[in-house]
Amino acid sequence: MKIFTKTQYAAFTLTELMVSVGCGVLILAAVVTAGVSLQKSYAATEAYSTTEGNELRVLDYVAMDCRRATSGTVPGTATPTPYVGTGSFVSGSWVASSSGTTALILSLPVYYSSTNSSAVPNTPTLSSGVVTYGSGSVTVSYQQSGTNFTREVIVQNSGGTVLSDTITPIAQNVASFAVTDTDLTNWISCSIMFFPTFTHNAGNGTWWTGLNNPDTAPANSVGSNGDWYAINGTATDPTTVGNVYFKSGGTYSLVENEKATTVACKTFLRNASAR
Amino acid sequence: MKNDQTYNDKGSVLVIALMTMTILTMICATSLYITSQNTGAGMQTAAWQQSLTGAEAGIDAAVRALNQSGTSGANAWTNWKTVSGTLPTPAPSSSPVQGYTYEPTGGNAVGSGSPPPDTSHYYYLPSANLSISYPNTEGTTAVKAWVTIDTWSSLSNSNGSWYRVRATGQATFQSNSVYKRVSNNRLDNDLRNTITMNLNRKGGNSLGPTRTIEAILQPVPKGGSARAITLANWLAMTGGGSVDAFSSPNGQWSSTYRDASNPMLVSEGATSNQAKFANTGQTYVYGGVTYSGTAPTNVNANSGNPPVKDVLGQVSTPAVVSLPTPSDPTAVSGQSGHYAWTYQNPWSGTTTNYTFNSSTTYTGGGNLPQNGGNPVTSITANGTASSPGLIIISGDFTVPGGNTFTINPTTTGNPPVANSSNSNVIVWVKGKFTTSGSGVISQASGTNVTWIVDGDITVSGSSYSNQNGTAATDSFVGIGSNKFTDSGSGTFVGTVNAPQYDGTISGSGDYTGAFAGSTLTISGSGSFHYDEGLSPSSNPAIGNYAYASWFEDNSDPTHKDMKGNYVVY
Repeated sequence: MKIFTKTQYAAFTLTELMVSVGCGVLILAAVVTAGVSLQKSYAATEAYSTTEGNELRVLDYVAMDCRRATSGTVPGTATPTPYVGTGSFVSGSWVASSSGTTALILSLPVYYSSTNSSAVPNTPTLSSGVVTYGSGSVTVSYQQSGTNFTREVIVQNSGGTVLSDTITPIAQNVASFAVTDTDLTNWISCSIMFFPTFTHNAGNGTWWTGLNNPDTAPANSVGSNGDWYAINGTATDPTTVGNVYFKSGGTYSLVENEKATTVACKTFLRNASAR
Repeated sequence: MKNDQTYNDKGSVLVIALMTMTILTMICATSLYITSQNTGAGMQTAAWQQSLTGAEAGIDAAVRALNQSGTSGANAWTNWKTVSGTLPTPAPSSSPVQGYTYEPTGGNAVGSGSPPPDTSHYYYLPSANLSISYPNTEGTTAVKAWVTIDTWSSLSNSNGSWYRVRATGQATFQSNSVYKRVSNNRLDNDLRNTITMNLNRKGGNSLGPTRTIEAILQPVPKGGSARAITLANWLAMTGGGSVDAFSSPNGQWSSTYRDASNPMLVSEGATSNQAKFANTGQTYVYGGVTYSGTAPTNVNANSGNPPVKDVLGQVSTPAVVSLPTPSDPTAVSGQSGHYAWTYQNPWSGTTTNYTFNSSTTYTGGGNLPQNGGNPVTSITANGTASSPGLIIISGDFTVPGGNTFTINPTTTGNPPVANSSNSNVIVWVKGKFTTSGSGVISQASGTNVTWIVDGDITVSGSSYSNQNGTAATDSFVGIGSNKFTDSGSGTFVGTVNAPQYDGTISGSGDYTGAFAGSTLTISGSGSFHYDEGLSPSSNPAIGNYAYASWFEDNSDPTHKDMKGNYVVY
């Protein structure tokens, strides 16, 4: 009797097994799908939060420095600031290069007595009819470096010796940076394009932009499958700016309903001496 | 055994379910955490911007008070406090926020009609008078601001004291706020002056970001007072000439007497893209420029090797140009030949009422004035400073080539002129004023002439010989909207007050005096020398205060940023 009883509980029938397996698969599929979706949502939320923070931060930094910019010259040259050019700073001096990235260079008053913990505001003086703070110079440069957007602060003494030169990446996932250099007498207009990573996680793919001038859809020889391309602001057709392409099967194709994010600011130069 | 196996199966399902739920919950919780961080960062950004509006409101309050104290003075300093001594900086260590965001306390109310603070006091407007609150709201519930005004002896020039205005705005959150309202990205906290809030929350969780603005305000004298070139619109300098100021014992220009303090010289009330300096590697203005509107081209230029600035003095804005509009004399009703004229001198600021009980009228035209068909080659300045003679030219006044028109002094007149060196006459030209070719006007030493001209004025240094050598003795007053032209190689010595005239100074000759008009183009190589003796020697009436400097203090040198550098710039 016990044996028979055991036999009754020993196993499911084939039908029961199939049904139970089917149900289990469905439940697991639902769980996995939910998990993946949640992870995607998490990643997108994090990317969105990061991107939004980057966008707000670069605008706030650029706007603040433009508002407090004053007259000055680009270190190493007699070029008046504000200045827009291509090149980079080497040991505190500007080295122009046509192949370099665009830089917005501003001069700030030497407001602080030093750049360390003992820094206190200098007392302004009238020198030959002009308000001045401390001696020397403070130069701030905004520039794209790879997919980072950097803010470089160069502090020099009156003899031109570099007291400090710090470069801080203040944003990531930057596709392009443009400054309207014909409007520096009163206003500074900047636009910064960010790759839309929060919608399409690039995974192992690489983001590309600006390989054409004016920018257009990328050649299929660019990159590899899984790469992305965003059209930057040099495009002749403004409606195509921000268009995103994805490479699959060796061919780039337009991703519908998708645009790279561009933030812009137009800041009035508060100091008349900067205009 | 059977029962154990059954229980084990049920237990596995439960564990798997719990693990699955835990994983999903953790994912959800992480997403919510990220979202909440995003909320905190958003609130931080919004509060930072709101703090800026608070700080700007503080600056505006200070500018309003300063401007109003320069006019009527009434209610200028309502709610302001005055404290003896210098502004206490930096903040005491006990203050919630280190640095220069300390709000002063104590002091006495500033009296109605009081002037701006002197060097031994500072004024401040408490935050109680500069705050806005919106309780029971999410995020920022209040923005408060306080502002200080101070000055010191070295922060002044001949126009008066300049002032440092320091305003701080600060946002606050609900006192029971759960979050610190800071970002999870330290870059944001470095930027938005919340690194201190995050690390040292003496103000509790309710304390938000602060913004501090330091502006230097420069006094701008009224009208054309103490100004070389005062224009309702713009100045264009395209030649090789320059503008400077001098103060000499005899009122005559010499480079020895150039004012090296670079005082305010050029005031442009409404600039456009025509306002410019040529930027050819030379100095155009040995002084300051103030303007409203589009920045003059090259106002900040710095070219040449070594670099030379186009404008050596302070460039500031705005410029409130309000030149008094001169008018023609008016006939006294019922009394033939009697006239009255009220004139406000824009440089000295004085207003004079003239009464003429007699006048002489000549006929104008394309040649010398006519008197009964005979050409008039000379006139006599037969009046005193308060009662000058009046000569009327009924039409154009022209000195053709080869002719000389002389203005002589006298010791006679009615009332008698006591001193030939103070002979005064007003000549009212109802048409154009023209010296052409080799025609010459010779103004004798000791005479003072005021030309009231209703049409275009065309002169040159070569054709107008002011033998006094001082600008105050030769005044042109332009009525209506016309043109002024000065050309040639000789030095023109005089003043031109023609608020609606478009002026042109060309040629190689200098211009000594002052000019007030609508626009002015200096295209020649001649220079413009402003005689500071035309204006009060000190304490000119203040028209407004202009921004000479603007800086947003975003530092927190007591902390390091994410790269280990102190948060300074």
